[in-house]
Order: sequence, then C-alpha cells, then structure tokens
Amino acid sequence: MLKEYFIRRALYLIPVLIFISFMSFSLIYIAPGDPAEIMMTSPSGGYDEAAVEAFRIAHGLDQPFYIQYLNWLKGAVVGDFGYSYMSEQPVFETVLNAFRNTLTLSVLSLAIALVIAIPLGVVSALKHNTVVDDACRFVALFGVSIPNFWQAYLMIIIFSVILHWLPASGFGHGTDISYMILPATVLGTGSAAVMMRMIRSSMLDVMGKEYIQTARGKGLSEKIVIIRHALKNALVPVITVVGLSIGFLLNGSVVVETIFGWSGIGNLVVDSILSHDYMMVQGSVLFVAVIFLLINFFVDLVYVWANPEIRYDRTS
Amino acid sequence: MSDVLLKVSGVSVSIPTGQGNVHAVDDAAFSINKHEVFSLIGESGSGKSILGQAIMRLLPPNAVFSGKVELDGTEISALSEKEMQKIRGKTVASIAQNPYLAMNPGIRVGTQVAEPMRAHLGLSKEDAKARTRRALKYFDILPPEVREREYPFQYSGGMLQRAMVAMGTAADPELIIADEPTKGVDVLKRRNIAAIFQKVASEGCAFLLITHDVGFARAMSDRIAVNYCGQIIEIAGKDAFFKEPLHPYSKALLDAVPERGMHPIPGSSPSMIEVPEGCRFHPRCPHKTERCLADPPVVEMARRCVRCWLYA
Amino acid sequence: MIELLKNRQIVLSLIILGGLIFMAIFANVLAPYAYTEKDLQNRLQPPSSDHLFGTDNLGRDILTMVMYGARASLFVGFAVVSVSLAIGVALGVLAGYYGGWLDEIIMRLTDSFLAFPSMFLALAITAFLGQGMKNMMLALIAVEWTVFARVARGSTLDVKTKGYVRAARWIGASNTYVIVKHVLPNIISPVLIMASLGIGNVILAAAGLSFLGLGVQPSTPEWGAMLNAGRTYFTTAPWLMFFPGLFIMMTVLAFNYFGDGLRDALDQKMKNLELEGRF
Repeated sequence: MLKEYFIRRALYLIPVLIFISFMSFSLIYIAPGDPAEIMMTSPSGGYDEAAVEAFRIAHGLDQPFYIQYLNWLKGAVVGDFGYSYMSEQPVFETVLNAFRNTLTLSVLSLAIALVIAIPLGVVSALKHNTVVDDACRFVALFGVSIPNFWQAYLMIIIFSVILHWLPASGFGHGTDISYMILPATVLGTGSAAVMMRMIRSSMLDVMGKEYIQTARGKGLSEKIVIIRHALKNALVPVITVVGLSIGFLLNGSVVVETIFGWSGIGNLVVDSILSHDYMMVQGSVLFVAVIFLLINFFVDLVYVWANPEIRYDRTS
Repeated sequence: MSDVLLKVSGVSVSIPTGQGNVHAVDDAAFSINKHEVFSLIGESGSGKSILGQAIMRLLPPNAVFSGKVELDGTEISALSEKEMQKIRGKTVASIAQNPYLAMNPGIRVGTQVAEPMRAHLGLSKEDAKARTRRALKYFDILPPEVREREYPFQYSGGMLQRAMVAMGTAADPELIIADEPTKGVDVLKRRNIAAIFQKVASEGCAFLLITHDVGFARAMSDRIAVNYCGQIIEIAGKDAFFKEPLHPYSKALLDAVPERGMHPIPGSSPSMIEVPEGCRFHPRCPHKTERCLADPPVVEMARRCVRCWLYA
Repeated sequence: MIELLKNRQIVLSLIILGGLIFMAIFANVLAPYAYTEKDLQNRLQPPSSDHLFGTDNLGRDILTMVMYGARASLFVGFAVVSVSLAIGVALGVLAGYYGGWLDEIIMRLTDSFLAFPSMFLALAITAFLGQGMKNMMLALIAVEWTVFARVARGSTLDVKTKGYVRAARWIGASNTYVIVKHVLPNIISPVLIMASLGIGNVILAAAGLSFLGLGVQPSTPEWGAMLNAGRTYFTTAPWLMFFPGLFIMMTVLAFNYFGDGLRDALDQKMKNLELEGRF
C-alpha cells in the first residue's frame, strides 16, 4: 500500500531528526567559552558576572549536558525555541514569520527558474550537439558560477539605478511584487541552471527511447510527440531537483535577503549572528533544517506518486 | 487501379558512424500487393530494420537516403514531413519488436491505442474511447474498461504485444510493417503472435514482416525476400522459395534451420562498413568463381528474381 | 591522461586555471603596487592607466588587491576541498566496504549534515566559533565532506560487486589490500570530478561568507571581503565590487567548466553525478 510506504519513509526521518536537533543544540558548545557568558555577552564585548550566573541557573545551564538537551528538546518539539535575547520575542514566532516571507520569495524564484529552465533544457536536448546546445550549456554553467551577491548588485545598478524600473531594496509589506522581482530573479538563476541541465539530460534520454519512435510512427506531429510523449516523462525526474532547488534557494536567501532588505529567514539569521542573538540563530537553523528535511520527504512522495511504475512497484 | 500497394525502387541507406559509413540498405527493390503478407528474412544486423524505417521515413536524422518509395501510387519518399505524418499510422503502421520498450511507460494503454484514431480518423474523445474498447476486446484484452486505464508495466508480455497490434491497427492501415515480432520470444508466444497477425491479415491488411525467423515467415507469408548484408538477394513466392531456393545464401539459410539439420553457414557475416566487393556473399559461397568479384545482376524469372551470377 | 588533453573544454579551463594560479603565486612580483599601500589622496579613483581597476576607499590599487585576493580564495578552495575529500572518502569507503551498522551510522550522520541547507550550517558554525578565515574554513569543511562521503560510498558499493573484487576477497586478500588495490583506483574519477566542482563551490561560499562579514576580515585582500568593503560605494564607485566579483565568477566558472569537461571525458556513467545536486 502507498500508505505503508509513506509511513516507512516517515519513520526513517526520526533518527535524522534526532541527529539534527542534537547538532543544533550542541552548536552553542562548540563555541570557545561558557554558553552563559556567550549568551550574556553584549555586542560591545562586556558582561556582568551576576547576570551570567543568574542566566545560568534560570536556563538550567548548571545541569548536566544531556539533561539540558532533553529539556531543550522537550520545548523544541512543541515549538518552544526559547526567547530572543535581543527582542525578548519568542524565537519560534519570529522564525515562523520570517520563513513565511522567505517562502513567498522562494515560490516566485522557483517559478522563474522553471520558466527559464524548461524551454532552455528542451531546446538544448533537441538541438543536441549543435551550437545552440553548447550555448545553452554554457549559459547554465554561467548561471551556477555567478556569485549571487555580485549578480544582485549588478541587477540593482541596471534595473534600479540606471533604468529606475524596480525598487533597489525593501520589503513592500511582503505583498508588493515589484519588490520581489529582483531578489527572486537572482535567487532563481542558480536553480534555473541546475534544472536546465537536469531537464536537458533527462530529455535527451527520453528522446532516444523507442516509444518516441512509436509515437512518431503513429503519425503524431513532432510537437505532440515532444510535449505529450517526451516532456511528460522527462519532467518526472526533475521533481527530485525541485527538492534540491529548495536547498539552493534557502542558501541563496541568506545573501540575497540581506542585500535586498527582505525580512526573511536568511536576513534574520545574519542579523542575529551580527547581534549575537544565539537563541535566534539556533532556532532558525533547526527550523530551516527540519523544514528542508520535510520538503525533501514530500518531494520524494510526489516523485513516487508521479511515477506510476515506482508507485505500483513500491506499494505492492 | 493496380494491385500494388507498396513499391520500393532503388532504395539505399547509409548511416555515418565513428568507424565509417554503415551501408545498411543497398539498392532495394520490391513491391507488396494489397492484402499480401510479404516477409523480408535475413540474419540480425543485415539492415532489414533500417529498410522498414526508411519506408516509414523514420530513419535516424544523420542517415543518407536515396531511392523511391511509392504507397498506393503516391511517392511517399518525396512528401513533406507534414504530409508524411498523415500517412504514418493511417495508411502504413509499424509494430515494434519489444512492446515494453515501444509503449510509453507513463501513459495509459487506452490513451496510447486511441491516439492514431484521434489523429487520423478525427474521432471525438468519446468515439475514440468506444472504438478503443472494441479494439481491446477484439484482441482479447479483457476487461477493456479496466485494461484501458492501466499502464504498460501492469500488462503481461503477451497482452502488451496484443495491445501494440491494437495500437498499430487502430486507424485501419492498409499495410503493417512488423519488425522482428518473434525475437526473443518462446514457442508458445510465437504461436500467439502468428495467430493475431493472421487475424489482422484475414481482414485484408497487408504485412511487411521483417524477421530472422524462417519458420515464422514460412507460416505467415505469401512471398519471401531474402536480405544479405544490406542487399535483397532473392525474392520468390513462398512455395517456390521453400521448394527450391535459388541463391546459394538462401540455400545455406534454409539448411541452417533446426528442421533441416542446423548446418551452419561457413565463414562469418561481413562488416556492414567495408562490404565485400562484387557479390557480397562470395567470400562464403561454395560456388564462387572469378566473375563473382563483379557486381552480380538481378536476374528476373517467372514470378521471382535472384541476384546471382549463377543464373545470369 | 593524455586523452584528456584532447578535450577542448578541459584544455581551455586548465589554461584559465593555470593563469589564475600563476597570478596568485606570483602576486608579489606581478602586482603593480603593494597591497598595503594606501594613498588617501587617490581614494575611489575610477579605472585609469595608473590603476587599471581603479582604487578603493583607502586609495589602495584594486588590481593589486585582486591579485593577492586570488591567493586567499584559491587557498581556501584547495585546502577545504582537500580536507573534506580526505574525511569524506575515508568515511565513505568505510561505510560502503564494511556495510552493516557502520554504514548505517555513517550514512545517518551524512544525512543529518545534508539536512541543513549548507549556507545555514556554515553560518551557524561561524556564528558560534567566531569569525575569521580559520573558522570559516572549518565551517566549509563541515558542509563539504558529505558530498565526498556519498560519492565514495556509492562507488565502493559498485566496485564491491565486481567479480575481480569478490575473487580477491575470496582468495583471502586482506581488506586493506583490496581497498588500496581495487576500491581506491575505482573511485578516483568520480572523486576528482566532485573535487573540481567542489573547489568552485567552496570559493563561492567563502566569498559569500566574507561578503556578509562573517569570513575573512575586510582588511585582508580577499575577493568576498573586497565586495563587502565596496558595498557602501556600489552606486558611486561600482568598480570596487565589479572586479573582485568578475574574478570570483571567472574562477568558479573555470573550475565548474573543468569538472564538467572531466565528467564528459571520463565516463558516461558520471551523468548520474548530477543527481548529487552538483553541476
């Protein structure tokens, strides 16, 4: 049954979840020095002995390591990541809000990436081993090699400073799409390149299959052969790349959100690091890891569902 | 109107590869009448399948084609790709060797069978669906309401083979080109395939059977053509051919079948890139003489022909 | 190996990489100025014959900084990838070769590291370890080794099923012998390809961290740090950001182009490496 497969896959997540929670928790211990001191150290460098001691007792930092971990985990499971040292807001809520903004931007980036990648990948495969193909492949290579922070500034210079088409940075209440276009394009570039490569090789593979020849033999036009018989099958493995692209987008969000002043999770993490808000860093990192893991889990399920052969194979 | 359905004249195909040009088809000429089952037999790798692809105009893009193919009086080798699309699947359909490779794994069988009907007969979705069910039922794919919604991998090999025939005959073609229908198939399945093909042929559809299986060709065909190293070396009516094959290779081929004692043909199949000069069979031929180093003529006789110096 | 030099893509990228490495090694000879040389009279000068790439906010010559910057970036790239490769290959071969619970533990560990989007893990580690080049490199090793572990494990599993390896084990060859003689030679190609692509990736990530002010400090000549320093002036003096960015891109492009050519040249099977999420 499909359900049983889902459950099996879900159970498999448990050890990884335990591992990543443990890693996130122990981050504070890899820091040279005492966690309480680090936590209570103000950005300017000084700290107050008494405050450190009070903090230590208040947060159970005088307890053994594993007890601390279990206490922390108990909270984390129900969404209690503690409070920000800076703003005194609950970490979980702040992270969740920031992530929502990152998600908005990511969805747009993914759409931009697909719009670029599908036609380029298909054309590249159909014009296999021609100048067109070489050009498409080089553009893709270019796309993964361009530093996103550099690309961001180039685009700001061109589209905001020179052409005045789009705002250089800002949040626009999270709904004004003109603020999203530049960051989403910068974010989407890398993913587009990876997807394009994937679509190209997948399409090449499919176009060489015998059933494509069968479809032509039925008198179908080349357009229908490509769209109905080839593209559909070629896009199935691309689903797996979407999971990967989410990773790409999350990574990119760190720099891109900082540059464009977008109030997402990447921006939050960088700000928190610069202001030594460690609870916030820890919470954000764990949150992002769990979300990323779940997205990949979900993508895997969609892949199984989209691929009838695997679907029946794994479920029977 | 003549009885000739397909006329192939002077067709040659060569395919450039890294090692040189493969001369897959050389100067092929034959015709198939309406309702006739015509077999092209020969060893694997002798260029038979390429000839089938050349008729369908589905050669690899780098293949070099010359010659003339006429179907129902139309020179299809001169048609534009768009016009050719109206012929493929409609007047001439092909049935591939391996149904698991030839059917699209991601599309329901019913949809695939219905495609030629939608493309060529202008049927609506509902009409095509009804016709598809009738076709599936006709080929014992039961129950059609369930089977049409399944994917190829859910079918057994024999059933998928029948589905492929249903797909090939979906738009009532006049000619079916079947490429190696019995390759890698056990005796029982071979018999089943023969039965389905005969069922289709009995409705008046002509066949071009491309096969290495001499027994299958004998059971099925009206006429036989023998292919050796890219050339057709003999064409004859079935009875005449099996009674008295003329070309030394034909004789050797028939002697190689199990029923006749499985005598192997001496020597090995020549390269398709550097073909032997003159008669291509001469290095292995027991009757070879000096003149065999020159290209042998195609000798026409009563209702048969042979490409050999012995009959010149 | 000679065969590889017939590949246009490999030769072209090797020439570019050679040029960059040459520039990095001989920066002290080639650079027109000393990188510490500040000339406050000539701050933020646009590119001219005196300063081909212009000068920065402290009046330093950008061309000189870019040349010295190549040292930092290439060093980080090579060092991080070498250490990651050593760790990853060792763990991957162990996991693939011995299997069982060892494999289970190593792979779950790898999965857990991979569960973090790499930039976040690197950020978190630098956040807690503190800024600076050494800590940045540690953070990058933490995200980079998993790639090699997975590739090495996959190739080891592949080799293990080969007849000659099973035969060698059957006649009593020691595990060390089998690993050194059979397993390692077989994983060299995929690991080399991943290493080339990995260096590009690491240079990009390092520049990103330095750009955010979490890696190399702005006073050192490093491309990412230079971009960070140039942020303030990006509308008035765009050359501060343009040239270091251009060199990051060229270097990363060359490594990716090389790895890509290597993959095409070495084996068709390597196509599968795309599934590892790298280019």
